Amino acid sequence: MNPVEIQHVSKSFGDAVALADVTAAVPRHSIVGLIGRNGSGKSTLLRHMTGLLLPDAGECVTLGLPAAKLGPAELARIGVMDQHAHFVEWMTGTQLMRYVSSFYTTWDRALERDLTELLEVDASARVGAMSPGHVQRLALVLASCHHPELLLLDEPLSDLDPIARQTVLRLLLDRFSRDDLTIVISSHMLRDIEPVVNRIVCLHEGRLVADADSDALRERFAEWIVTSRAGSLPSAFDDPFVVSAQGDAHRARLLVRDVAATDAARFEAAHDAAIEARPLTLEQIFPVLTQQASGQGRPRDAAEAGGVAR
Amino acid sequence: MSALYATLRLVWRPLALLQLGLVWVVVAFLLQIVPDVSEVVPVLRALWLGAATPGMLAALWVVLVVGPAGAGIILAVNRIDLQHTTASWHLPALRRRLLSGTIVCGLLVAAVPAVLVARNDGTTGATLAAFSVAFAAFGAPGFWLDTAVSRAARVLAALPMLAAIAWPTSMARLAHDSPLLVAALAGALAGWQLYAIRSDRAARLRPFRWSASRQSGSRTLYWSGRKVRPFEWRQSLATNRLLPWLRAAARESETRYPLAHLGAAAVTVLMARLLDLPQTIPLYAGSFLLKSSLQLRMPILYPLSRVRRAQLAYLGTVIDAATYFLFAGVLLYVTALVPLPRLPSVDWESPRPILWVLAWGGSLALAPVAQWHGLGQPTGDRLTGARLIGFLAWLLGYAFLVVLAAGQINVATRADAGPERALAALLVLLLVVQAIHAVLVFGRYTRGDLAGAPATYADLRISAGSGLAARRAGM
Amino acid sequence: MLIVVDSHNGVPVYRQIVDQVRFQVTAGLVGPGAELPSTRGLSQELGINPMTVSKAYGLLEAEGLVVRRAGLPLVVAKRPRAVEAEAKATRLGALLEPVAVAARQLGIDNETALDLFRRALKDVTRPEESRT
Repeated sequence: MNPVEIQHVSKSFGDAVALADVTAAVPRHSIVGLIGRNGSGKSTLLRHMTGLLLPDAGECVTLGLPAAKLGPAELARIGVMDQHAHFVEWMTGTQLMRYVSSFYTTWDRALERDLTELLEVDASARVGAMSPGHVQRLALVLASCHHPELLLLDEPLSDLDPIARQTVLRLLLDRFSRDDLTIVISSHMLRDIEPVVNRIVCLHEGRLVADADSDALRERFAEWIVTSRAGSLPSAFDDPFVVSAQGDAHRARLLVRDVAATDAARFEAAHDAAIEARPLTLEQIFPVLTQQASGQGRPRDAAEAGGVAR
Repeated sequence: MSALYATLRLVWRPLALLQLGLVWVVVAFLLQIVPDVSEVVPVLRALWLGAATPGMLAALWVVLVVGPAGAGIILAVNRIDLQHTTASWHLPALRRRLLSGTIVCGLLVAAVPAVLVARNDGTTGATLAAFSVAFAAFGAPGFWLDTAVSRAARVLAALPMLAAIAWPTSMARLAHDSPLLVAALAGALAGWQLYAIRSDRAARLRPFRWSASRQSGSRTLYWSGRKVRPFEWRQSLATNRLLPWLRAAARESETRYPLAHLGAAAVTVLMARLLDLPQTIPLYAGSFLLKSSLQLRMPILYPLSRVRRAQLAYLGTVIDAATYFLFAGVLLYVTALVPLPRLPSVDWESPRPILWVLAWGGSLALAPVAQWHGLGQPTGDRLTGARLIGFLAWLLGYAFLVVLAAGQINVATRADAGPERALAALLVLLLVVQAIHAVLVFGRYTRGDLAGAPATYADLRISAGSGLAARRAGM
Repeated sequence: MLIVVDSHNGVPVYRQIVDQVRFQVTAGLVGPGAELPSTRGLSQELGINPMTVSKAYGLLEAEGLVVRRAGLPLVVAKRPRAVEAEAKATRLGALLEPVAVAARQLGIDNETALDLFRRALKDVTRPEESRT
């Protein structure tokens, strides 16, 4: 049973479409990276998972129950960290932790101590006086100390300095390997989460663009450095697997996707060129994923090609 | 027990306890059960022994509504602040615990006046009615402050409460004659309020609505504010002249309810007229503590010298004070022409006309004391958290000052010497306060930090009440 | 056994782990019976998802390079010499492919390219020869 199953969820706020027929699943004991541009619906999707928002169409099933019907027992197994995690700001960190811990029977005080120390949370400060990064780390402590089965993190790294980011990711991996935990991270820090996630769910303008194993997704894309022996490369390539092209008649840099086994050889023969294929990082294929979804396909101006190895 | 902890922990803070004390002070002052401080104990004893006069009984019915409401507002404000955060949605069984906690507190609070009614009226029906009304009154503020409930519903729920306060004798009689009806109505109202605490639908709406209380300084995620008029600014600010900058300050100081603060002046003048107590007029300047007058308040670097900033700040306060002063004056004149009813139980001696003039003048003279608190503060969210304590301290100090000044003026006017001495004293007071105010303002702007480390990070966020256009966040 | 991984060069991390282990085994840097780091330990050390490590180890096991023992870390398998030799040849062939492409692009003919390779071989001493 998948901890979260999103089935044809659509949601609009007035005229603005936030989610359009999104179907995805979060497998058990996996770390899912939820990526997308600002306003693509990531936070909205995360809020559907806890039942805070109800879909206009479709259903979200969390821990076996429709999210709308999540009861206290199920909520106690979920840990949530909101992007703008704000709490009652007059409480100090310690008071807040005591207050929140009173709602969970599985609260682990030892873990709380360890996490506050590891994340350098000064629990004696008032929440309202904490900097955004500090609040974020406190929010992570509050979300994790009751040993949840499902951890939903909305931009947990956005306000943290580079060292704190690494600490948080190490911490998540540690908890992941100790508990039977499923983590969903929504983040812009693609470089940071790439080694940590094993599945990617990508949204663009409310629609699902990708829901796949992260290695498999990346292996669909490649960068080709094409060198022509005759100096006769065309300025545009109409092969279906070419996403973007950049360069002149002698050398070109192509971004390709879903290349079949024979396509490369045929391409080399057709253009009398040699191909050097390189893999791409998540950050490099991200613009392609989102560009494709909005139907831009190949840009007019090759120089504006959607981002290969900046 | 966990329900009580979850609920009461929210009010176990110095601010709430301070407010609780203040509420009863205000209640006692507004309702003239005790026209004189020394009569508090005898009145209470009379109530306890069941020897209350009908007047006392009627007043008790008013206390029955206002008292629990005052206690309820403190609980409600803190509870609602929590419920407006997205972090509260996934706390298991939060609403159930808040509901249980509210019920228990309501029962305890409602028991006190119900017992007093029982001792005086005797009939169980009246006691039951009193208990229900008190319980409904306890939950009422939570309902009014809950922006997840429709406005129509909130207004509808407020009407019976207001009726009970406005016509206490009829209320007492109604409770005596048909207690079950009253109990049933109050019970229905209470049930409605409790349902709103528990309701899933309301809970889903709250994180995305503006919190009406904002006591904890928490920020909402998404709210649809009322749009202010479009920003058509036609004047160039590349100038050192005062007038364009004053207009800029006026534009920056606009709030959601621009006339609300003149409303404060109106309320105090009317109250003074009704109670025949001109000394309360200067209290309207307390609204300066809420809205710190015409100020440039954006956290940007203005192309103005510090001296210029100081001049603008000073002029801004003067203009504001003068506006209120003139408005109050007009109202006083109008209400002098149109006779208003007096509240029956007031027993003050009728003040002489000169006192009205002195009080009115005093409001202008003492305004800067209140304005000083607001200088340099960001807009909105003035009443959040720890700053509310500061505000209340200023308010009490200011009220004390008013009372002191009123006492002095009383003394001065009782003497057989004519009004000239009193007027001269007022003029001196005005000049002295203005001088101190000018020194303080100029001192702050020429020597102080204009943009230092914020007291809390809450200062940096654009507050929900700043009157700028609606913004969506985090979708 | 030291495994170093660059999370940001685009090459999938599991593939890097597989390549490194394979290289170290075929080059003889680790002998049969040597222990691989535990899944959890490696994931913590490199800051990567433990599933990635499991995936890599699974592929290595499928290739026959490592052997799983119940409850104990994986160990390098003993492999017959012929398989070893073949694996080494494949490995070198894969490394030579981009060199061949570069030679084509530079327009260098086969004879010159081979000469260059022979010279490179002469310059690099074999590991056994350096241990004197």
